[in-house]
Amino acid sequence: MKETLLIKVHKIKKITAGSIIVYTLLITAALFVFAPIFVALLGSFKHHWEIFATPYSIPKEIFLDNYIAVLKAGVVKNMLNSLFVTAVSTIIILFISSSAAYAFSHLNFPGKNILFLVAISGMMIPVYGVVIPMYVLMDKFHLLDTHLAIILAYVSFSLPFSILVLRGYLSSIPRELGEAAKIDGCSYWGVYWHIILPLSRSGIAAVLIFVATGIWSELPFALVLIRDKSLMTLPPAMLFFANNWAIQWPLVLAVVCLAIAPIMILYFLLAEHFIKGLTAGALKM
Amino acid sequence: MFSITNTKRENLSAYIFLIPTFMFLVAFVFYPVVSTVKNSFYDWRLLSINEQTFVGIKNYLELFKDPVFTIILRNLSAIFAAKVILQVLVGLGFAAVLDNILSKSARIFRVIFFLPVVLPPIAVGMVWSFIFSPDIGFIPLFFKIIGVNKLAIGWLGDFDLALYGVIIVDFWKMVPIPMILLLAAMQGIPGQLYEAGRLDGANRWQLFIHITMPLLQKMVGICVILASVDTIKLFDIVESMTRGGPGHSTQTFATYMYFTAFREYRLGSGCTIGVIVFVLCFLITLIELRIFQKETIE
Repeated sequence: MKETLLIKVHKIKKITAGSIIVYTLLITAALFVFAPIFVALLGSFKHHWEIFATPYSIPKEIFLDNYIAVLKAGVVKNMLNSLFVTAVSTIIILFISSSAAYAFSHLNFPGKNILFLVAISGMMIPVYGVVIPMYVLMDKFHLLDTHLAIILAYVSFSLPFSILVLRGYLSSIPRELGEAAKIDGCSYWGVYWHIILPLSRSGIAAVLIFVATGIWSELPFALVLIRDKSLMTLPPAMLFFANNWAIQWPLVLAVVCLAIAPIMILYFLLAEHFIKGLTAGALKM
Repeated sequence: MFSITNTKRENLSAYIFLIPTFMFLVAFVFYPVVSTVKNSFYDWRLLSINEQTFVGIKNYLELFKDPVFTIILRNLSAIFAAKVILQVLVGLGFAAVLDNILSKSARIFRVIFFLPVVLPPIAVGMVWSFIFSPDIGFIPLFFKIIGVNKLAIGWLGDFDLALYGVIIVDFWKMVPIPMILLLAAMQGIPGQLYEAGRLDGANRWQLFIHITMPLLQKMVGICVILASVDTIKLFDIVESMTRGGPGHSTQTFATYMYFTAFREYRLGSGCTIGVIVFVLCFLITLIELRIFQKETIE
């Protein structure tokens, strides 16, 4: 977003009755956003009896047993699985979607528009609509209970969105750059690798963050394709814990806190990129 | 000769760049879709996965007669209405507010407000289950204190309230999306338009109605489309809070498909639900693109 030197005429700059109302509204909304997280944090440090007696007070002491129990139940392994799957999927998506986006934005070839529409039509297909054949397919290839299965699924379903957005980004890179390089003897692959990729780093980063967040949180495929608890990613593992621990709220809330902590940290460090990933997609439509 | 070779080279390179994409898409997206459609016409059980009996449209007829099907339609209509009315409108309102304050504050609030979107839905569902839970949930307790005892029970276990619980949680998680999108669109409106309006004596509210709103039409349309596709895709939050229960009162197509395929082991019928979903998604997107292409022309 451009920062213009001219401040928009209609911005509120003075402290008026209106601005007090506005900021109160905004702060209330911010509290609404943080409230569940705060509640989870408070509850995760409580004894079992304490959460039933005083569910929303500050815990009398920092009670770590909940976290210890959660860690013992193997949450770390699940998080590492998620991390592995997310990282591998994201890297694969990076290369496949950016090369496809390059082709769609910089090259001319027969069937370009149709192929593009077909490629992004995948976005309209809800994931859970195909879990059944996916399950059978993976079963046939003995890929059930492997990370490869969900990586294949995640890459496939992330490609349409990534290609759509990246094509938009890449089309703002002038073709002359590529053409100049080709005159100097560079191949199309060379142009892609040495010119396009470095120039579109920030756009690619935004898209990848968006995609990675979705993969980290993904439930349907992970639930269906992996049954082995030690191989599970975080979301289905959490579902499993939630069912196991039912109303033992301090344990449940501890899992929740552990699960959202890394994302929150990453988010507050890179917030603008997360948001950019979303707006990039929509504004290109 | 030289130029033909160049074009052929360009075509070939392009296709090579596209091969990995289409390999993945064909194998893991398009083939499964076709497979789902084909399998919806068969009686196919999880426990005898290699046997299928062709039954024509029997699965579809059974589904349409299934009372849960009506419940799902009711639920999704309610959720969609809530998403469009609550989320898009509230999102618009907050976007308007944020657009009107200084950009540093606006950016801070924007970051704060967008947080729920990135959190894993399963975690969100779990903590909100706590907030709605009987006896110690914040919301039932709140209603108990203000004396509305009908709402002072565990929401997710009640046949009527559970859906409202789902709607509220979906709101918490998803309202930032139209908010951020509309804000981005608003920020793209050139300042000169507002200046001109000011010179003509318009106040802030008039500026909003006559300048901002018309220019936002396209983005509002996009938000509505996203909301509708989201409604059909709704799975994680419902599954982690109610699993479609109690009874089947909060079933969506997604959760019911899971239930049919992996808990009742009826894969063929599950695929039938999948086909209905594909068709709906497709139709909705088409209709909405139509509607609001017409609007922007006007």
